[in-house]
Amino acid sequence: MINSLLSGVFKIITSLVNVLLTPINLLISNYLPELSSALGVVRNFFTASFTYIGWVVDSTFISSETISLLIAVFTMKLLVPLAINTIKLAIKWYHMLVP
Amino acid sequence: MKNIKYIIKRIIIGVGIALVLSFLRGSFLIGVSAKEVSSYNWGTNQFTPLVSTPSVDFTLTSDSSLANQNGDILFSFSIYNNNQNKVPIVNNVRVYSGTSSFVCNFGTVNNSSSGSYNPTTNQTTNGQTAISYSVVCPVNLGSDGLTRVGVFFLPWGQSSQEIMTITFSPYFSFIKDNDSTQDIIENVNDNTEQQIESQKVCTIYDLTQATFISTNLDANGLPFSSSNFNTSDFISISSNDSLSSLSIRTNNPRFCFYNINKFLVSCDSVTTANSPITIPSNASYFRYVVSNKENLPTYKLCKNGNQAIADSQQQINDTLNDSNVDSSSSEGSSFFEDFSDPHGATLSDIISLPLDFVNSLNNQCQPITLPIPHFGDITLPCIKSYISQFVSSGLINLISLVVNGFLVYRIVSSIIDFINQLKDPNNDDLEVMDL
Repeated sequence: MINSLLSGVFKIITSLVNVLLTPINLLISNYLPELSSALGVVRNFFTASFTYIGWVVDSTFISSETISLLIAVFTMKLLVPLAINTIKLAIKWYHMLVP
Repeated sequence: MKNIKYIIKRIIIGVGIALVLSFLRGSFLIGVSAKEVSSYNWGTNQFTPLVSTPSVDFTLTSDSSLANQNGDILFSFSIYNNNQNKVPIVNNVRVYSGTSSFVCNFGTVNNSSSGSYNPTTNQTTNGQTAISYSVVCPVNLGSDGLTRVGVFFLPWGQSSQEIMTITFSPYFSFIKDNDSTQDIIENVNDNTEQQIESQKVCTIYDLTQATFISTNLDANGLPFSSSNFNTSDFISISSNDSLSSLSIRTNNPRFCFYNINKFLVSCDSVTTANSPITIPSNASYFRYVVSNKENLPTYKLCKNGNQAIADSQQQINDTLNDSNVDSSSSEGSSFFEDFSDPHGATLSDIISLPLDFVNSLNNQCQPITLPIPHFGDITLPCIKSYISQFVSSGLINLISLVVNGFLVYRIVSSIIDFINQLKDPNNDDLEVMDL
């Protein structure tokens, strides 16, 4: 259940990144095909590497609960600064608007 | 030490804010309360009178505070006989304000030997144990407030004197009538409820889209041939609903009714279009049974408004409480299909690699197959399952315990360090990339 939720969060973030970078992505894929190929090599390398992570994790005797905790902490560390900075930004705007 | 003081200071501020919010919330609740409910103490709550007449009065020692108040008085009391298996039956109860008296209404009487019944319609003098009465008294109290409570009994005829004990529950409640605005609101609500109750909410079921569970006999023993089909769903119904078929088909359609346990009650063949179908009084569900699923009729089910709303709410509750997530992964993934980049490798693929890495940590172990030139393929099995063939599970659990314990300790330590980074509100140095 938690893993499904976390996977959903990651997919949302990935989709948002895709949306934000759409102009740059289109620029690279249409006008810089060599750069796209280079990026593809890097991506394929890591994608191939990630397929073995399950085997590596199993070999280290790390339980799925610990992995879930690790991912949850990672997610928290990403989201908490984001939330704090958002609040700070909102306060900063508020002070700018208040005469 | 400085950190501890800072944390304590923040906790005190947080608690203070919570208390203020609670106070404000409570004030608002009181402000919008429709009626004021107060509790009062009877003072003495047990009486043991010698009853020679079919009534007894109890003078109250308090409650002049209720002077000139209008509202409802709620209280309960129990009566039991001290020396015989007979309990005097209360005919009525009155409350007094000076010389004015107000007749009370009974609630349900609970008798542990006879169950629940209404004392005004089904009284008995042979109760084995105490009878409890719940009473509601609409009153317009005068300047004396509440002064007396009178209990009047039915004459039991066998003895002119009985020693009994009446035990009042220690507190009674007074629901003060509010201003007329609340009455208007209640009247509007009552009228609305009555209108909803009188309205019929009808649903037309088109069985051309229905699914079928079997061509065999019904699981509950329906006496039909194997050529009959049962629609898959039990549809809730009550005798207050109305049911009719909108058309007549040649496939011998029948409405079959089931009780709350989904056992068959009866079946009714459809002979006339748009004629109402008689619903058994104990029917809780029904299904439509046909002999030819290629030629299906439609039918109409009408419920009263309140029942339709209740069914709708129940359906929503069932959906909310459905913890089955088997299909959520595929359904959720389909949402993101349109976001995939069809243009090959791009910058976003590189940026999202850390997330892909974290996401891949949940991957199940798969044996690794390495193609070696001139040697063939080498398969590396999953270590844990491979070792478990040679080593006892206790040793594996011990190793797993040590590894996971160490890792969890490091994770928790990192959480503490992370929180320490957040302790200073004046520090903006939060480096996401360093986390």
